[in-house]
Amino acid sequence: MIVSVFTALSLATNYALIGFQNVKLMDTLVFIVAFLFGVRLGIGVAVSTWLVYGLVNPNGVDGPIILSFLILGECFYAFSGAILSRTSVGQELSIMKPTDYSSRITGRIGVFRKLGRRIRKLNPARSLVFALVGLQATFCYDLLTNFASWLFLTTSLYQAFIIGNIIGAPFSVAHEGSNTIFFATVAPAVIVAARRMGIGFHSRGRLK
Amino acid sequence: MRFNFISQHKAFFSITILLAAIIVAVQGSAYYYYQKSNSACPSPCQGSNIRVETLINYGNGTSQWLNRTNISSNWNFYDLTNNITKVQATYYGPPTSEHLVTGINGVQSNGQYFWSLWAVCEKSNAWIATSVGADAIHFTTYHTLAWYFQAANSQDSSNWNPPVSGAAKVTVC
Repeated sequence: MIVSVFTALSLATNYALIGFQNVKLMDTLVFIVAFLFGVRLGIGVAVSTWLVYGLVNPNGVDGPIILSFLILGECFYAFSGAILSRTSVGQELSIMKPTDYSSRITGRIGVFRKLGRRIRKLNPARSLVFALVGLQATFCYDLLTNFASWLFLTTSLYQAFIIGNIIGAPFSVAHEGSNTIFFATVAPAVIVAARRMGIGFHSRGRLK
Repeated sequence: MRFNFISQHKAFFSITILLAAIIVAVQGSAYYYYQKSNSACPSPCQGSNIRVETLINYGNGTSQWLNRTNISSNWNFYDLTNNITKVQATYYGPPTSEHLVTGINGVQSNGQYFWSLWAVCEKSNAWIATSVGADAIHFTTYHTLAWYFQAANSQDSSNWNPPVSGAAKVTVC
């Protein structure tokens, strides 16, 4: 159920964002699933999303080798979500309360009070952790998939790695930049909401 | 509370921030190198006119050679294609700022059929499916290029046919 709901959500957002190269919510959703429900479900969402998105895509169909690398790369988000949820940092993040500091900056002027309240609820420390983890997972994904794109077009693995990652640099920059923003905003919001609704490992106290 | 949280996990934050800084530096360098190697007028750029031969293969047995001798060396292959044919293209803005050519002279991409981009590798005198789009091709490396309308079941260009039937094909130039 969780895998199918999140796969549908990933696919819907992927197709909606088809005009924006390498800007996708899918990676954040895979991370969130793994953080809340474990690595197996995260991998389930990663694999099933790519099996559809890789084969039914207006920009072209992926071959089996590229597709396997894309799936493997997508699993990095599942691994990072699951690993973070098992660390003391991750467990504290999911129970952390809103801070009271942000009002000093954002809450003084009337129009910004509401926004300030929302930012306080997101907690900058939590957003920072998710943004950093998201950036690192995305970087690993980009290194792997840029390398894979050139695997059979170059004479050595080293050449494939270097050429792939230089020619793919604009895509990587867009991907890493957008994912850092999504991980800093969407991931903490969904995880906090899930905890309040009693969904996920942390809310049930399985990892205490 | 957030300052307490960060100070309680100094090691975690130090490592992750350090890694993030390394990633930004590596990716920034790769992007800079990419931009430099794809600049509008690569070295040597004297602003002189050069000769470029372009083959348009419509995939139905019809093809035409278009030879131009007055190409400004600061043009890219998209500029040239736009100049010698009627092009339909989708423009993708930054960071790539490239065109996806969807139609040439009224022949539009559909289903598995699309316009593939080829160049003659002068070193090996064989056709190569270019790894970059038309906007990133300048005429310092290639002087004979082709658009070939063909069906492809995979994005792996090593499986594609060259634009001239029976001609040699290489995957690395």
